[in-house]
Amino acid sequence: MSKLQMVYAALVVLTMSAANFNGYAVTAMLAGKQAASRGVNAYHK
Amino acid sequence: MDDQPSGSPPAQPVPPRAPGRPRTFACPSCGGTVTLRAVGQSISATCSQCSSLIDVADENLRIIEAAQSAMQDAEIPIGARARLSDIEWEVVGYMRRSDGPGDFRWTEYLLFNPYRGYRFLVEEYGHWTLVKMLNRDVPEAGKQGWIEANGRSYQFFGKGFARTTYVAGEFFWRASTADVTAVTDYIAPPYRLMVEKNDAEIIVSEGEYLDARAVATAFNTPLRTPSSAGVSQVNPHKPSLMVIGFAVIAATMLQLTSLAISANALVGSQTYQLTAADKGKTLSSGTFRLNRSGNIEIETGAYLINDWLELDMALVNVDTNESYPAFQSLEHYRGTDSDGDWEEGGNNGTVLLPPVPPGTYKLLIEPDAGLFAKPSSPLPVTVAIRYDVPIWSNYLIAMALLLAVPAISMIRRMMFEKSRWEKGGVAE
Repeated sequence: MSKLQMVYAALVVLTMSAANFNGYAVTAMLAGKQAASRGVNAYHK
Repeated sequence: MDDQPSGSPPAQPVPPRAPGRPRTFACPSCGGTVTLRAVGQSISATCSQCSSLIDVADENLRIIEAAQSAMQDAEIPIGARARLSDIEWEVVGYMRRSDGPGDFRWTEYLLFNPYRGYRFLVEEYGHWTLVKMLNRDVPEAGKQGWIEANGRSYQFFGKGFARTTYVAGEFFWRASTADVTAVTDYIAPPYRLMVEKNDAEIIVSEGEYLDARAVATAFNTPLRTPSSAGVSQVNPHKPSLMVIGFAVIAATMLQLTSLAISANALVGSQTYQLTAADKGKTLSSGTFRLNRSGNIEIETGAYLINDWLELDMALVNVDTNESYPAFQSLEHYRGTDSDGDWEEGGNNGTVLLPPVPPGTYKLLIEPDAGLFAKPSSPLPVTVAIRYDVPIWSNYLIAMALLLAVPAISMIRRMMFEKSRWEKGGVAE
């Protein structure tokens, strides 16, 4: 259990720091639809 | 012999004797063969043919109790041998017992070793306890709360009555299905203290929890696996906070570091006076330069009263014409109804774009708003653009995920204790 906890805790901390230092918000990535592309974006493609 | 027997028998010490060979005699009731394994020490024995209970200390082999109810098999048969606590034991008898109402049942196997005396191996719902009678006095026995016994602090667990409902094999007292004792239980997992009292005596026994697999291995027989908590089983769900504690500290340090190194720079801020004439138009911010890769946060604010605003935006790299879409919707309504004042929505919002490469950018905005459909005064809309902003949501999610571990462990621990206290005690 303790080993499993160590792996789990390490994964959580590493994922958090990787996302943080690269400028990603996990919530925004999970939402995925925050940037609905409509007219103005179509215009610029 | 260095130990005394335990359970509901008389408390007098068993005299030492050399190991003897089993003796057989004919059952006075049915003529079947009765085998005595603890010769010279057994007081009563049951006939394996008719299950009559015989007084073997009586030279006429008096029948204590005529044939009981139908023969009941036990998980461990009489005559089985096993090494428990580094001592070789032989099962010489067993009895079924229950609490007063009969809701809670257990089996007590009588173990015998000619040099070490007797022990009881108690089985209750798949949990096993090796029980030994205490020779010393326990003055607080029977008291509710915490008591000290045999160098341990015991917590009161329950009290009630224990009835013997079936006996098989041989015993060092005159066993009978008429036996009823008042029982008080205490626990200090993996230990358990049992105080049995009847009109003649008080017997205090101490048991130690045994793993079911160890018992099965010792007797070389398959035994059922317990599905719930045992009365004196050590709670296996220990909230180990050390690993999670280190992870929380590490995550906090990393979060503080990311806050310290984030530029969090305001690269553009503009207020647009939105009117109905802007319908269908595309508004543009001034250009700004990003020297290194980083995320972009667009913060929008508008003073809305019972109105809405949608901004369809694109962050455009003017060098490559690469665009990064974003969308922001604001609405703010308020009023009064039978429940009083109400309000929903808000006047501010932010949207975070993933990291964009270095370059020169501008923000294009295509607005849509409630004011486009009705005559209205200009609506000031402020759009601020921040670059390389620190992110708190990742840290908060990490904290939730990390703290969930001890929380789940604590819940499981509490559920185990609930299960222990629900089914372990002898009902009053």
